[in-house]
Amino acid sequence: MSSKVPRNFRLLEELEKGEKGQGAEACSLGLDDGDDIMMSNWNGTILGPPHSVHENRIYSVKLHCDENYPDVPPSVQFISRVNLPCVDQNTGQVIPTQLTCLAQWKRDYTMEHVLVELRRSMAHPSNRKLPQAPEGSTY
Amino acid sequence: MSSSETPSKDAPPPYPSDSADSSSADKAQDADDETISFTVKSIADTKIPMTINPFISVADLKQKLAEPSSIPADRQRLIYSGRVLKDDQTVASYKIQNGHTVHLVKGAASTASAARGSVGGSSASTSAAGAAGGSSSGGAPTPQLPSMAAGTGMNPLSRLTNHIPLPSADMFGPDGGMGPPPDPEQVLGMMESPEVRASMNALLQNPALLDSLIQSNPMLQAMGPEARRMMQSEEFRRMMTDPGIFRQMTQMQRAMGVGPFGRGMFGGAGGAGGAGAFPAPGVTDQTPADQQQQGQNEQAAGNAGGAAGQNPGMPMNPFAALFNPLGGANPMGTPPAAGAGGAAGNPPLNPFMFLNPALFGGAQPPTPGQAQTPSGGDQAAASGLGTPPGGQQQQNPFNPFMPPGLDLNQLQNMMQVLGMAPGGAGGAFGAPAAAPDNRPPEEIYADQLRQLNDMGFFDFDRNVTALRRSGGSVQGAVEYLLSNL
Repeated sequence: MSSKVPRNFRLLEELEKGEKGQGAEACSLGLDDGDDIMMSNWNGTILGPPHSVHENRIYSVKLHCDENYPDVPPSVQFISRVNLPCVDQNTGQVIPTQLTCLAQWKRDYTMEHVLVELRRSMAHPSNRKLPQAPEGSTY
Repeated sequence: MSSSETPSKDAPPPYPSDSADSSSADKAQDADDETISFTVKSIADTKIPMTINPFISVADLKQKLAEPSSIPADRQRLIYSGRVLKDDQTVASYKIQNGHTVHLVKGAASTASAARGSVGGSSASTSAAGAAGGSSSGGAPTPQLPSMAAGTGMNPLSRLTNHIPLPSADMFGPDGGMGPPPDPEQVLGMMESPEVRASMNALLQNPALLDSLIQSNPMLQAMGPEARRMMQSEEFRRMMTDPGIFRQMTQMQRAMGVGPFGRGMFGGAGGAGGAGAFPAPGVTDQTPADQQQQGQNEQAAGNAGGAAGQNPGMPMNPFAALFNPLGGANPMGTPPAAGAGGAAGNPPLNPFMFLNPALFGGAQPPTPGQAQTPSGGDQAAASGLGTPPGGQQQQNPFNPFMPPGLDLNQLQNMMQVLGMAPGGAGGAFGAPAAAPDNRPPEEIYADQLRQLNDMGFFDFDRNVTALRRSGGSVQGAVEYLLSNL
């Protein structure tokens, strides 16, 4: 790569994509606090994939991009309770080693990548039937 | 707030209402300046442009969206910037800006209105499913946006079979039950086996299974609570598992000179009448996935049980899965099918008998070559379920299974679900029959035809054909129309 996109430019790009709805259909992304000039804390939603227990559910996650983002992956925490192997059942934290895109983070991955991958793991045959807490329960 | 001080000049200390007025007036003023325009992106990429006063509540916004999105407000979920918008907040609090996009998805009805939601859902599908005789739904058919659940290829039973012991497929022999249909004696023996009965009972007792059966089939949904009540009734269950009833039916067929499975009918002219006239349960099962079995269809056509058994992989037919364990012979499905064949073919063995609308009324008689409809799941499920009424018409051996609340209208619903005309089979025997559904197709399928028209299918005859083949399911009809361009 000839030039590195600086952190804030990258985040602004992701913000615009999230707000204008240009991202993946089933995921949404936005700043937690629109006035935060560091753009560290983000909210994401994941629509449960069809043909799974997650169908028709909406999962909220918090993402945190520290100052080294996007050289390091964001930390991701579920707000809505979800039963997935890659999610710590006590805190809702996504365990980075359990989610491929976090474990093998690349600089051009975005938060949307993470959300999409989380959604994919919900739809994964081994996960889509996992018993889930009632909708609306949170960590 | 300067506004709270200004009134002191020209008015006595304001009543609370006054201050509220002035502040809301202020807000209104602000709003005039700050009307925001954004896009609401609904499912299937529908975009709804919205220009609103940002100070209305999210609940109000949902009301505004209910019509253009055709999703009732209580089922709308709005997502902006990674957040789910809450009903009691104002739109402004989410800082939605001009040109931004809010996502709209259809969620489950909120708990408070869950009951209402489900009733609404079932009435909606009633109109979609073409509504059984007489009960014309008043509401205009709304173009139903696909919910996130769209695509119902999921086998609702797959997760149930994990913990219910089912007889292994080995019992069908090396060919997996594809061989000649077991003779009724065998089937009887099987039904008498306690294991089979136990597992049938377990299956039918499992409310989750019933739910998924009902939900997976729009026609059963359309029947609303009745379907559930019926399937849960002791009598129904007993009937599904009682070898005695099965024996009765085989005897009856023998008496009619039809082979135990109606096989004798299928070689010659009677074959057309027998096999083709009625969508024998299971025959319509042939989804494209079952291509390799097509060679068997001709033979299997009249053999409902055989057909049901021959679709081990049926992705959409919940009942096929349910009955598979019974060894290729759908004990309840078979007899009525054969009986129906007898009804159609028996008198003068006229293969075209079934074309006589007066005799068959609103039956959807696929012509012999039409055995494969894309929406087989619906019909097959319905026929597996619905066979009892068919039998009921012929002999009334099943009266006890009818729950007390199931009146004639519901029976008729059931028949429609079945794809049999009320009075079709029964009429041939001179048995007391419900009034035949003699309405012209444009009346029976008014709602569905309108929907098809809206979708751009203008050929009336083809639409009717498609709807008949799909048993009134718009989705099935569309699939048929698209695959037979």
